[in-house]
Amino acid sequence: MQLGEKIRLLRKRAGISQKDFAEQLGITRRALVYYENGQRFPREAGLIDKIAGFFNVSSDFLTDDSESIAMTKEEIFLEEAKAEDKLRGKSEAKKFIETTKCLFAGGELSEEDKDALFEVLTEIYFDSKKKAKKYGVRKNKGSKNTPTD
Amino acid sequence: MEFILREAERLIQKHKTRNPFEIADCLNINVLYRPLGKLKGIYIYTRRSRYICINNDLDSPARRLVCAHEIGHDRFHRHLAKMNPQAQELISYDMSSKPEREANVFAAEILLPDDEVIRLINDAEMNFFRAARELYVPPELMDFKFQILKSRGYRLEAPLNATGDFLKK
Repeated sequence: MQLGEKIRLLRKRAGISQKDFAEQLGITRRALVYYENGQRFPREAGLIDKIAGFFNVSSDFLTDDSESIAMTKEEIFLEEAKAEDKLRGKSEAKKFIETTKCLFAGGELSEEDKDALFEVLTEIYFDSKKKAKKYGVRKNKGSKNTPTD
Repeated sequence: MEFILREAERLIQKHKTRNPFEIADCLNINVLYRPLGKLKGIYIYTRRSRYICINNDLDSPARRLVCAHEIGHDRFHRHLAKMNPQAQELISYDMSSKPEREANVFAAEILLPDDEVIRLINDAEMNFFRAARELYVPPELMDFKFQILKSRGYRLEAPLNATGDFLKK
């Protein structure tokens, strides 16, 4: 896992925006975007240490590509949804995850059950999307469905 | 109660089968078998596609029952199963007992033909539990069927009083 990916993942987990994070580090947001996308590597002295310090990890861990962060099912799902639908994937996937969280809020499910259920729901998410693509959208009630492509 | 029986009757007549898997197929519901841990089955409605997911640990009589039960949700509670945060607290296993009861009444009506049940309980050899075993359903579902038959004017004594959540056991 590359440095940029690790920075992005840790930043997201900390729930902080690119703008705010860049401010904290004393760099521009543009620079941070380059780092996260892996287009550039932080050359500034001490910047990597600063980032590592912010997240409480070692700078070696950040710079060593063989070191990875284990992603949660949710994070993996978000990545997949984003890759699958660049336009709306992210917001739809977020909504979906919110719903699953509500589903789990009943409190009767063990961790294992939640895992199993999340797996199924993820599958259904992509499947229903495929089907919706295939059959097009209903413009208004009563009209015939027309394929979009 | 009445509207549930009417709907069950209508489906059986229309598709000429009591097999819940065939009915689900006719209704364009996608049926999946997946590991679900302790959950027996779940009904999901998202992007105008409907899914019944059945726990793949279950044996075939149980699968049949869960499938019929979830079709009941599809018929009467689709609006409750929408995948959106607004409909949050209303998903299948988390529902109050009313939708569950309705789905069970529906399943009982689909899986248990009147004449079969009457024939079995008129048999001197039979008791309630054996009749249920004979028809591959749990006694609780038989109890729902008894309640239906009573509402149609049959005089029966049922040893149980099943509630909406017996599937949870």
